Amino acid sequence: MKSFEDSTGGGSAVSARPAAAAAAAATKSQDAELAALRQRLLRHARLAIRDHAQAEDLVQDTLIAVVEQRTVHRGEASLSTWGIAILKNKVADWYRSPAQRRMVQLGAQDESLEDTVDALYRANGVYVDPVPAWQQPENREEQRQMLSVLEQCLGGLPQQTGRVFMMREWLGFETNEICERLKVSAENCRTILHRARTALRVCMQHRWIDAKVNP
Amino acid sequence: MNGRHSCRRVAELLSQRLDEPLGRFDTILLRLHLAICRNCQHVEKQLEGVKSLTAALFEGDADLEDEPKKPMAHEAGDRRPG
Repeated sequence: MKSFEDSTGGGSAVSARPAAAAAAAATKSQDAELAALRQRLLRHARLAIRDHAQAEDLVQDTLIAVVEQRTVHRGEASLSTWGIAILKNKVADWYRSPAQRRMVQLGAQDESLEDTVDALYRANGVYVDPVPAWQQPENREEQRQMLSVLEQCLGGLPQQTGRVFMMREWLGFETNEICERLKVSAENCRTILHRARTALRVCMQHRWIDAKVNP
Repeated sequence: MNGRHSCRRVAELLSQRLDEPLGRFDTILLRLHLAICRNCQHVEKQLEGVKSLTAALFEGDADLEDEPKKPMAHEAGDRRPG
């Protein structure tokens, strides 16, 4: 009896009910998708801005734009690609706003990266330890883990150094714009980026490559 | 620097090169150094790796980050006739 009910439904309702259920299921999966997107955007915004409250605000603005324009947006780019593009613009605008001009003052932690770089070389500028070649990730899972390690390493960069690195490598600012916005010399800007990249390279070496060889 | 760059200077130039074109002098010396120094060759690759991985982390497919099934569910939802 029960199976008869289930398979045929109740007469006229038969066409309406699955459609409603489908719509409800679609809404539910969209909500889950938005929640997942929010998490991802927050992680990106926090790394790029290093200010949780400000990151939350920009992500909120981004999600509002995503939801509002959702009916216009169809297909091509995935929701996350699209959401990240919106967030990127908002973060770039934030860095370009006049209020941000005074922001970068290198702290003691930023300065301490100099030691990280110094430790790599002998007095004559030659590497203390041989620099090994990195293996390419062997599959998608390894690639995913590698990105996750990089994310940790980025989070470990000192605040201002991390901001400068993200302005350059994510937001795509030219270095002269970064120098100008942050009121630092071109030489200083180069040094910050060089130290950031070196710190990331060393961090990836320790946490990914060495950990893979000696788990 | 009299015609030779140290590994330390090479690392600085490798980073700088990711942001702006180098002068002719530095370009040539960098090339000569890289031709004979394995450590610096590896550093060059690693710096490029850091750059491209950062791009992948921030621009890449969600499905590299999320559970593999999520994007599929989204597609199925969108294709439902409504």
